[in-house]
Amino acid sequence: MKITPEQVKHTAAMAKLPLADDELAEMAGQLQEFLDYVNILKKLPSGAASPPLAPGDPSPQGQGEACLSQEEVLALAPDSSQGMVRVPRVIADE
Amino acid sequence: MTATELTEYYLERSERLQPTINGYISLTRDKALATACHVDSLRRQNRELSPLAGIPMAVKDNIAVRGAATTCASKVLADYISPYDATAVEKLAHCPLLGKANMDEFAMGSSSLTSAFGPVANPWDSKRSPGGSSGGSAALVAAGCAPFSLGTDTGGSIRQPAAFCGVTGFKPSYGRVSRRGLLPLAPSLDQIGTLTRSVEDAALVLQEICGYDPGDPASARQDVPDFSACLVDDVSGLVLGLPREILESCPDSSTSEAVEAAARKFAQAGAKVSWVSMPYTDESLAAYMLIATAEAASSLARYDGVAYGYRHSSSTLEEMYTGSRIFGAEVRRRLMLGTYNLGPDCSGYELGQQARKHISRHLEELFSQVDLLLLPAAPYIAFPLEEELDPLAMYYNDVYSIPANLAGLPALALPCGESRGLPIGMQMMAPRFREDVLLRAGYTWQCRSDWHLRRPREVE
Amino acid sequence: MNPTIGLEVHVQLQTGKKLFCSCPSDFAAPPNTRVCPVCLGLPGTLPVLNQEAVILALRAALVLGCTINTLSSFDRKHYFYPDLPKGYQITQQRQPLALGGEVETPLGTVDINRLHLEEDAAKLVHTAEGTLIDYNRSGIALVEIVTAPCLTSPGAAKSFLQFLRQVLLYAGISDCKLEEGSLRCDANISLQGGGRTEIKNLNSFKAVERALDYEIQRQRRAIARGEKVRPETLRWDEAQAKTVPMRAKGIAAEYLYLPEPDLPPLYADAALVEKARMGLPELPRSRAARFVRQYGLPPERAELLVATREMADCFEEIAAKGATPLAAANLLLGEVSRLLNAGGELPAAGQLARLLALQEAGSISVKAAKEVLARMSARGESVDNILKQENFFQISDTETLAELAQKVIAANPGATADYLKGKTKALGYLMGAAMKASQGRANPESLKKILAQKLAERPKKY
Repeated sequence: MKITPEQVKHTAAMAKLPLADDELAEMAGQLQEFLDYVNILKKLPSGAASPPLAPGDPSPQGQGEACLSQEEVLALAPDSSQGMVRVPRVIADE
Repeated sequence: MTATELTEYYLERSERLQPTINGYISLTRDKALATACHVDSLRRQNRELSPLAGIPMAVKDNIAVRGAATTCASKVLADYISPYDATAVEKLAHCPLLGKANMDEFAMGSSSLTSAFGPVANPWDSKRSPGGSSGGSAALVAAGCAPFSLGTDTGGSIRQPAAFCGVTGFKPSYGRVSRRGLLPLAPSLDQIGTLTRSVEDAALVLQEICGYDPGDPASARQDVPDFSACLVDDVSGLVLGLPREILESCPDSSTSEAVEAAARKFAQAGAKVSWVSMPYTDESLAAYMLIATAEAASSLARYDGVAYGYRHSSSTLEEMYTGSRIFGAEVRRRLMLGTYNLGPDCSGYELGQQARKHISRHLEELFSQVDLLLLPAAPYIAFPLEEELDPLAMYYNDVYSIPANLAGLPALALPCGESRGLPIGMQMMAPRFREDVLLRAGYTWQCRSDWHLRRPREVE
Repeated sequence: MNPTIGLEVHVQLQTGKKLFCSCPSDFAAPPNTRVCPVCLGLPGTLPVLNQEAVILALRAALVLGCTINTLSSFDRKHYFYPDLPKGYQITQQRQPLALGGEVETPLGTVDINRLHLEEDAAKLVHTAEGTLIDYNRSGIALVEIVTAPCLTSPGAAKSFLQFLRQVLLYAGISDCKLEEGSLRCDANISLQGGGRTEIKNLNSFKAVERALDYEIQRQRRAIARGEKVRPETLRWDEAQAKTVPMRAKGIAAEYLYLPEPDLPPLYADAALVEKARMGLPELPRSRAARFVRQYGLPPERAELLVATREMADCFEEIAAKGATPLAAANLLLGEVSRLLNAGGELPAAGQLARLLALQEAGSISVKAAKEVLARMSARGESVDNILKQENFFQISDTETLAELAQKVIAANPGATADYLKGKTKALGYLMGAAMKASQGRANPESLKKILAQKLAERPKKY
């Protein structure tokens, strides 16, 4: 499975990771190395991987976390306005 | 000695050795002393307290502590203060918190070199790595800066540093300890565990932190036995399995020799030792890479600079995102691999999970023949900080520890030898929820050997 | 060319708490005051499934005739957007709570493809100074209902939505308030063989109908021009009354999925499903049929009565207290409905029954009854209280009326004389005088009889 620079670029965009052009080649090489390594798994017998956790039991829940105050929420945020967290204006339509 | 005096002692030592070891990301002096003071006052009132009350601790910086920095050794969370305590921290509320221990960024690493706050130095040789990702947690205990610490283990991140630093590292079965408040690397593999000087201490800490938590739906509804009652100096009748392929191919011969010597000692003590086959070392590493990187990519998707953490100022949302995700090289590499594995081009995650099932079944079968597996904790001993291991070789550090995470089994790393002045660690694995067997065998080992009593001479 | 229409409806479940945390799910709270570390997506937090939400979702599956999956599981759907605090939404993609159902609506059978649980995103407010985020809505429990593309007209789509709303309200699953966003709908449509477009931003049932109408015309025009209809996502622009392509950002063309490792599979065993079923009330159709059978109501009246659960419940309570069913129905559907639409409250069934009883006994006039009802609806007062205060009681007893008649006759000799001379209209004048003297409380029918009688008794002096 040969990984192309386009795929690397696309993956970086999906992960919102900044990737300079000169880093592309090195990253592609490293990803390729890993992908080649994991090929050995194809030799193992396959079969459906059942969920690792046993089904949940619908019993009453614990307390849950306490609500934060508006001040606490905004104190964590890098920027806020009018009681809400603020980010640069979204360009797309809603 | 009062809790306050004890805490003062450890704080002083921690602060003094911090420039040498860099084991902490942040020290929490005021918080520690407040807890100590509170415990002392409870004692004066003759209140009944747990055996650990007043014993100071360090907590790895990927475990949430209310009011304290919780950074995961990353620039992305450098200024993040958690508004809540992890369940494990709540359960240790009477243990004064000395500080948050240094680690590999987001627990991705086996060297503690990738920390945004500088690497941790191995107390046995400050030019060498203490291992990772719980390098700070292990080094602090080895250097006597903290009586015990909490670490986390996803692929060996407690056991390998325990081996490198000559301390006891315990990874409980998956689900034993609540993951609520553990900033995840890979949710299906992560567990909180202990770094201590001895198996006895490990039993005491585990007793406090283990147990079902409704706040973690994946935690196990399994009764917690009396762990200290398992500390019996007796392994007669216990069947130990030695994995042939692993011991034959271990890159560090002093390690394989030390493990085989330990096996002989167990045999002398009445255990039965036999060779078993564990052929899936490479497959385990491959499966782990596929699963852990995909889950890590998911776990770190929330670091977008919006509601908390580092934000890059910009005028567009897109620039804000990419500018805020300022992870180090190792994290970026794993995120890229993980994101790729989640994509439609490659059903990597599924492939990894299928392999995992197969490998886990094989291990379960082994345990129908033996009670314990005995193997090295790591393929190397502490390597130099300067050494440039290429990424794949660095991952190889975890090759003996990964199977326990894949299968959710408990595992214990114990000092068992020394090579060129550096500790060697061995590892024992038991069936799921059989911490009792590990404690028994580990305790027996420590009654009959003194490796765990040795102290690094580099730090006085 | 017949359209093929499918609907994707998101419904906020009427639970007290959010889907994965204990934050209250109330609507009008100040921004960021219904937020906890979990729904804010703070590092290290874990989701804990709200069992009440599961029950409501199961109920929804039952009323829509779906097949419930005993084992369902959760998935993470990843994309970057400011309304998604974890960078992923927890949903059920691979193994949803329910599959394949069909439901009888007034316009026929509608096939339901799937129904599953998922969490809502935060609310965004776009301003000139940036996009503002309110996390109160983040994590609220949603059920997503996807129909098969089996609706064949915009009218059918609107009708299905109205039916769905009624049924969900009835079963106490959601308050279905479009204006508050507790029911949201996307529509997709294709014309025979053509590409399928998805329409978002439909804020009312009317908008659904109009948008689909527009889109059908648009696609028809395109096909007539020989163009191929491209599959794309559009938004309905209410102001311009047209569908507009949505720009690529904000709708990730590609989502990454991961099975949710923090949550065990959901086991909806027979006991849980039974618990959900037990909480189900009688649904509108069956209830209307029963009203016809049990109370002898005309079918149209019955159907109108069951439109809301409150009205239907009220009717049955009134009937249980002995009122004539048809009178009760007419009262509720007539005067009471008018008052409700004007913003009043539904009076208590017991009070309405009393009012009806008094009216039937002739103790109060129809006009008085209306006024009493208005007071009941506006201020929730009891019938007897109001009657006491306003002295609305109608005078029906013969003696009082006879006295009154005598008085009025004596006080109005001119009119009396006119009447006796044969001017029957004078009776009206005397009636008016008597009503005035009795402050409108005289029972008109009885009064008229008695007045005529008294007049007849007068000796003819001529």
